[in-house]
Amino acid sequence: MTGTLAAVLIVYVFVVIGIAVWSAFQTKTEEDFIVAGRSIGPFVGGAVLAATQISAGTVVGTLGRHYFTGVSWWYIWFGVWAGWLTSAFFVAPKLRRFGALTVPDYIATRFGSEKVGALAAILIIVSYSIYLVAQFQASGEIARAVLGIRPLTAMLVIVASTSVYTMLGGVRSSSYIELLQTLLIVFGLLIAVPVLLNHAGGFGQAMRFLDSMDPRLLRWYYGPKELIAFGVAFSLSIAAAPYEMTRYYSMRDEKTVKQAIAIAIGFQFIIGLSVLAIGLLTRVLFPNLASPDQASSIMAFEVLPPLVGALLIVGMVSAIMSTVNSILLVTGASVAHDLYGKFIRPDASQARLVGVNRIAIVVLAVVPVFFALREFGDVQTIVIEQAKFIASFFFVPVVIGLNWRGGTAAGATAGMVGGFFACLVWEFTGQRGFATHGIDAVEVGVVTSLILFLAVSRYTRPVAEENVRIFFGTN
Amino acid sequence: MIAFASGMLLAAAGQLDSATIEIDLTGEAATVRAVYHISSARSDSVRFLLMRIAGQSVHLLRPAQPILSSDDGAIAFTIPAPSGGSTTTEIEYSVSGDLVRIPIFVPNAPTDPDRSSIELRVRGYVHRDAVRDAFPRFSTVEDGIVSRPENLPSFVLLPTGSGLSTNRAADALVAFLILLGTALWARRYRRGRAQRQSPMRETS
Repeated sequence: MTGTLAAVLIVYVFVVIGIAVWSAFQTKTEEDFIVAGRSIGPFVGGAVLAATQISAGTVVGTLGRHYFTGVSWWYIWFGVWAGWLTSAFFVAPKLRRFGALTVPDYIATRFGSEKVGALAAILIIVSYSIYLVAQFQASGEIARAVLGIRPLTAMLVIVASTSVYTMLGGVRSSSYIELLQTLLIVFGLLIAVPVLLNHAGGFGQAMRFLDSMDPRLLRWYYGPKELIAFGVAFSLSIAAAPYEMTRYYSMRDEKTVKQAIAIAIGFQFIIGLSVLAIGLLTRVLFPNLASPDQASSIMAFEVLPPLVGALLIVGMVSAIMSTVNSILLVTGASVAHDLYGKFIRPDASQARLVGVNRIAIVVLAVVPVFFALREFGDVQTIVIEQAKFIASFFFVPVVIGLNWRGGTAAGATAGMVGGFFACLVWEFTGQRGFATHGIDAVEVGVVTSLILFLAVSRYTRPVAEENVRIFFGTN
Repeated sequence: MIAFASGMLLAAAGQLDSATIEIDLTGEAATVRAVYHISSARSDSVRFLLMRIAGQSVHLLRPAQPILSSDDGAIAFTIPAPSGGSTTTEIEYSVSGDLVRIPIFVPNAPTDPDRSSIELRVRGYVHRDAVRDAFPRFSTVEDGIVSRPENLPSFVLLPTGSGLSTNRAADALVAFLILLGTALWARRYRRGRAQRQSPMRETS
């Protein structure tokens, strides 16, 4: 198995390097680097959106949740898809038509204030650094279980390899690599399910054993209040997720974006069902793993046949890499384009902006490694936490801001800051009583953000008409 | 945040330091002798669970008077464990009927990959050419086959070697898909290149 895994890894690395080098030759301007010259079509775009969504949170975290809690976690996907549909109908078309380079670009233009754009950039950098912690932690889990190497080594390898291909070709190389990654994951999971079912002796036998182990596994481990809270967190964060919205900018036009979202949901449906089946079947095979996060790598390494297992492990690592890459593209652009290019050196050349972007990518990749080594929670928990923060500060200014003319710069600032801190404070105070009151931090964050956005916008100076017209047309 | 994180650990009774499972196949039956060492007990009892497999009957020989529960999916029993201390449990049972899967009692105590040792030894397995399809991964030794997985599985899969091997079929399918994907990509790339070159020729 180790030999096969090494061979598959080497082939994969060469393919990735090949794509990155080819993309580097195509990348000449900042627009090439950040939005691939707006040339991505629906199928590649759909695979890219699926790949950005299918992260360590899915292949390690969600699979681990199904291993540990059973079927009920699957209903979270409805929240995910609701988020995608909201994005497809209320966010993506206007954003793509606007045609900016980054999401803070949109915020700055929509609310007529570069400072509000900078605030959005800072909040994005903070929240997505938390998301990177989950990705690095997952890579450590896989490396420990599969290769027996120290998590730090694995994290540094991921940082180095992802930074290199992100720096070389920007979004163009990422897009084609992510297409490959999505196909790897989809086929790897689809082939794994029947193999595991065969091992377990069939569906009925496996389900009976799970029912005897813990009846909640096949019924309701989580109650409706918890599922709604998690679903809302995912739904609202995906509807306004900067790293997904950035990918809309790289697609040809609005129609392509909608087609890509539909294709991404199709990929996610297949992946979601497969991950559910694999989580449950891994519990049948190994009922008492020390940590649910180990389930995916142990299943791939100890149960599946060598080539399938190796393919899936490479797929899992690549899913982590693709998400790390997407996040680094967003946070790197936030530093270079939205902060450096607008506030520190507004006269910076294209070459200098791309250079700053590349340095930022390396720095922002290294910092979360420090936190990942401390393992503050399981992978899925960290993913949920960052989703709550993204939703709390970004949903209102993005989704409401794109669909209500009355939003002002002060309203957006109040909504973002208020939502962020309301979520943070509730997380450490009110969240402890969740079992009694059922009110989650994301709900507190989004409602606070909405109230502040509407109230402050009502009493502050409206945005200049030329800015509003870009998104709403003339009155 | 903290509550959710700590809640994601399985409710473990302790840590499984070692498990030695010996399976003797004798034609129509299998006898399983298992010894478990569990330390750092976090509760006053350890629950052992055995998967029920269709077409099989299991007869428990030792311990003689366990607290036993049984349903369609599993057989379970609980033994007392000194809190904070360690305990050794020996279980012996026979399995008859379909012997492709031999179930193993799994305690609710996970292993520590750095410290624990698991050994599964099977004697009397005649289909040694099918051992690559066995679960967990086994290697051949003088008196049978042996496996040392990092975690204790709920059963041992011992293929008979007849019919299509699922593992080989799955690996073959992966190899086929990789070749097919590469061929399709190469075809698309060549077409795209030809299309890009033809307008250039027309212009020149």
